[in-house]
Parts: sequence; C-alpha cells; structure tokens
Amino acid sequence: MLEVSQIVRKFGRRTVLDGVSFDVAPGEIVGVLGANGAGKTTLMRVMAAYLEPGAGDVRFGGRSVFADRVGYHGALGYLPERCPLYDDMRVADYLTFRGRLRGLSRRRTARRLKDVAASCGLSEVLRQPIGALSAGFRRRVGLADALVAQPKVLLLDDPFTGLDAAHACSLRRTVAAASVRSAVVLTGHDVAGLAEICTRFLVLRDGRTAYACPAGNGDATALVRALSRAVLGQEGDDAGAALAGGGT
Amino acid sequence: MTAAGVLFRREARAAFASVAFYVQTAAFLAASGWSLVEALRRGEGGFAQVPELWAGGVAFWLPFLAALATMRSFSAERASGTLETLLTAPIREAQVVRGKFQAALLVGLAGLALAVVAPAVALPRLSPLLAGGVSAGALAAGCAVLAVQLALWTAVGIFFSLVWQQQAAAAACSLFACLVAPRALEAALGAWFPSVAIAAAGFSAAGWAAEAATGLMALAPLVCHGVMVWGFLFLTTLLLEARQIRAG
Repeated sequence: MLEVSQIVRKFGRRTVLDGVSFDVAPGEIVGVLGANGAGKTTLMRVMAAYLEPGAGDVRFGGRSVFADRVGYHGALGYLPERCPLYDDMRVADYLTFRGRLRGLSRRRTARRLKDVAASCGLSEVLRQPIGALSAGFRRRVGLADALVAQPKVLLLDDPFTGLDAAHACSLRRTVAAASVRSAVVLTGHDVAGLAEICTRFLVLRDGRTAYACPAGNGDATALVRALSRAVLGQEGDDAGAALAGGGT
Repeated sequence: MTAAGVLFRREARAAFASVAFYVQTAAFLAASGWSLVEALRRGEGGFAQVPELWAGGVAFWLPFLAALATMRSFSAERASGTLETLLTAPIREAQVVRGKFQAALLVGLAGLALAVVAPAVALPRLSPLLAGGVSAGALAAGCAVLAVQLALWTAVGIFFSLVWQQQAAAAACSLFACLVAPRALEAALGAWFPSVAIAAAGFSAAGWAAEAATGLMALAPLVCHGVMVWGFLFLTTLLLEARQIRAG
C-alpha cells in the first residue's frame, strides 16, 4: 500500500537519506531504527509528504503522495518527533479541532474523541489545557491526534519517548490494535519495546538501509541484541545471521 | 465546514481568548482617541469635519493594530513546530493562509469597530456642539476604506509572520513595510518623478481615509489595495510551499 522507493534527501551538501527503499502493507508495523542522525526523522517527514525528496518517490495506493498531498494527508496519521501541540487549547478542543480539520463530521469527531481518549489514557485530562500536561501526556495527545481519523497510514516518530514502562506498554498495544486497518511505520530507540509489536525492522545508518529484516518467530532476545548492535554499528557475523533470519 | 473554516474558528477563538487581544485593542483605542482629540484641538475653527479627522487619525494606527494581530500567526507555529502537524493535515497551503488571514482580519475589525463606536458615543457627550454634526454616511465611507486598509496591513503582517520565527521581528518588519516603506517610496518618487508622485499622493492611506470620510470615495486606491491584498496572500502561499520544501 505504501511504497518508499530510492529516497534521496540532502540538506546543503550533506546527504541525509541515500537510496532508502521499502514498502508497508496494512497490518504491518515497520520499526525504523538507527542512531541519532541516521535519518529516521527526515525519512518520516518525507513519508508524511512534509519534505520533498531530492530523488525517489513515496507512493500510496499506486500514486505519488507528492502529486496529491491533500488526498494523501486525508489518509495519514502523523506524530512528529517533537510532538508539537497548541498549548493554549484544552485536550478535548484540540482533538476536536484536529478531527474536524481532517474532514470528520461533528458527530463522528465526538465519537472518535471518546474512543481515542479511552485507548490513549486521556479520559481524565480531556478538560485540561495542553500546556499544563506532562511530557508523557503530551505524547499521548499527539498519538490520539494521529489516530483520531482512523488513518490508513500511521507514521509515528519516536512515539514512546518520555513514557513510563506501563504507559509505553499500553500505547504499544494501542498502536498494534490500530495496525489492523493501517500500515504503520514507527521509529524509536527502545529496541526491545518495538520488538513486541513490529513485524519488520529497518536499520538506518548514515542515511542508508543497513539492514531490513522480519521480526520472525524465533529467538526474540537474540534479535533484540542483534538489532541493538546493528544500530550502534557493532554487529558481528552472528548478529548478521540473526538479522537475516529475524532472530532464528 | 471547510478546512479553512475550521482553522479560522480555531485562530479566532485563540485570539479572542488571549489577554494580548484586549491589551492591543485598548492600546489602539487609546492611541486613536488621542489622535482624534489632538486633531480636534489643532483643527478648531478649520474646515475639517469630525469623520475626516477621525479617519485620518485611525488610519495612522491601523498598521500597529494589524502588526500586533498578525505577529503570532505563523511565527508561533514555526517556533513551536505546530506548522508541521498543520501542513500534514488535509488542508492546502492557500487554505491555511486564508484561514489565518481571515481570523487576524476579524481581530483587527473588532478593534476598528470599537474605534467607531467609542467616539460616536463619547464625542456628543463631551462636546454638545458635536452632537448631530457627524454624518453617518461619511462615517460609513470612512469605515469601509479603513477596513480595506486594515485588510492590506493584515496581509502584509501575515506575510512577515511567515518570514520570521521571532514575533517581534515579524511585527517590526510589518510596521516598516506599512509605515516607512510607502513614505520612502513617496519621497523617492517626489525627487525623481514629481508628476508620478502627485498622482500617487491619492493612494496615501491617511489621505484616502480622510477623503472617504468626507463622502468622496476614490475607486483607484480601492482596486490598488485589493490587488495588493491578493498579491501578499499569494506570496505568503508561495513562501509557505517553499518553506515546506526547505523545512528541517
């Protein structure tokens, strides 16, 4: 459904993404891993059609997302890395605004607001101003925003940062549930946490795809260890074999 | 409701709920009131009518009102990162610009409406000689011209709020463009092309507003202002598209 092909993106002379390709189907959750500066956030911005690539294309349903941004954005749920929100708005007002901006009717927005508030653990803070929320709750609001219109493509840039273990686990379940109808791509640094829900991994290094591997049904601990080493660029031959076989 | 309408409502609500709106409106009323009183004091016994003096005084302060109403529009979005979430929603850049422009214009028009009502109520009480001496038609013509001028200054302010991430810089550039640049242009024309300068004098903001308040509505400045509003909004849309490409 979502195809990323040969994406190249430069900032000045610096090449941030260099020929990244993969595809994601509904029901899949692809975890993009990489050290800081590997190009994860730029890749997400290109996939969100916020940045245009220097070369390559992102296609959704067979059409370039850059040819019909508005149509694509109607099917997209996106949580940026910094999780930007309007601090002056209350949580319920913000999610209603975002739902209406995405073309949902008033009634459907109200219904979806209830659903995402329950699934993201926001029911108790709906009347609170966003500016008064902790970093963890802000992330949950950002995630609820991405989920409110039941998107077909869900891009989450570092969604579990700043959350305690219990809430991170609960939100991972929410994302896994959303993946039933969406193609999900997410980034992060908690390899073990991502391994619980991801069906595939992509390891970026200096803007290139270092590894692309399925999560597999094998030894999860071995896979997490191998991925963690791959992110750091310290993989050996055994790690390479684990990544090729998805932990088997 | 269209996406631009949803954005307009959010922006307008945020503006009217902020303390800044009441402070800037109070300052504008005080400044335009002071201008009127000063003009009445100086023009005592002259031929100038009250609406003419009022419109000329208010016209001078309108760029300040517009700069304050628009300085947050895009600069706050850029500084907080919410522009990224806004531009990955299903809304066109032109709709974003239109929604923000209309909201800022509404804020300015609210201030302008108060600046009409306040003297109309206060003056006859302060001076019985002025009671019944104000022509409603002349006042309406003056108001219409001031509203058109406000639209232009608002479009200029919206443009600079996208150019600058710092609100103060956006407001300063907006004021420069509205107050200093036209006078510099007028002076340059006067020095090099005196005949053009005489024709251009009819386009001066305060002069046009004062003239309209006597009941003489010139059409050429109206068309000129309308074209410039459209031009600045078009430029802002182009810049927003370019910013989207260069962001990161």
